[in-house]
Amino acid sequence: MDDDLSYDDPADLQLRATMAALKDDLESPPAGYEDRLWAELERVLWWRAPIRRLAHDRRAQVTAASVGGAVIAAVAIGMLWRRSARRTAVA
Amino acid sequence: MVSRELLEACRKGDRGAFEELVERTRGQVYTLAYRLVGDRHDAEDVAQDAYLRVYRGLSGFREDARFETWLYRVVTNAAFTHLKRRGRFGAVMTEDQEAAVEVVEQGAGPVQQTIDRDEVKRALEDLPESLRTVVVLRDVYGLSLREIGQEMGISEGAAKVRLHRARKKMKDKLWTTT
Repeated sequence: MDDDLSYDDPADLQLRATMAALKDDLESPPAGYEDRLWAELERVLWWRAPIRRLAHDRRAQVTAASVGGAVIAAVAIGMLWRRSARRTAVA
Repeated sequence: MVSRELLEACRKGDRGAFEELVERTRGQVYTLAYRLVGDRHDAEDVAQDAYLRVYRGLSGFREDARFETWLYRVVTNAAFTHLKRRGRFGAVMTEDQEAAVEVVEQGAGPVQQTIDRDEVKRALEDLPESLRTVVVLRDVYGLSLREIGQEMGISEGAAKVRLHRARKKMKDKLWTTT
């Protein structure tokens, strides 16, 4: 019911057609627009790209899990070793 | 316009794919931004903001939706944020005042001359932001009044009133100046 533009009135028909055609009528951006756009994307986005890529890479996930598991295991072994070394020193 | 494979590559952080996406869409994005904010430099800021939002929001984009439609919504949101920040948005009338306006469409009268695209563009540029955004989204990009209301944070009725006012202003300008 929003259509108050008539299909009979030539003026409305003209306006309707011209407005619809504007979608494909691309505006020219100011000089240097593309350079500035790329510079901004470079500055804000691209440092995140490797992280995003890793987050979607199955092999990277398995590697990260393996490395993480190895680190946790090494820390646990180290703590046990340290505790037993202390006991030995006290005895 | 943008293939599913390209979107998937963008989601995975493929920089080249995102660059291709920007390359393919930058004309449309800039044009919509310009039509909404009515200033070339502001449109550039809006386009930059829109691409940052696209990059961050791609993981939430549903495969069954049309990418072009989603992209237009992102640009529209970025434009509205920009206009609100500048305090140039929705200042024409409060929603209550708009709802109270009786929408009476007057006949445009006989058309003596044809209008061209540049005249329509100038008439659009002369509209205040709060009216221009509605008529651009409805008549150029085909959004429904409900969608426009949602995007702008106003009721469907208020969007309808703004649409009538925008069209009337445009017709008055076009038929009196041609």
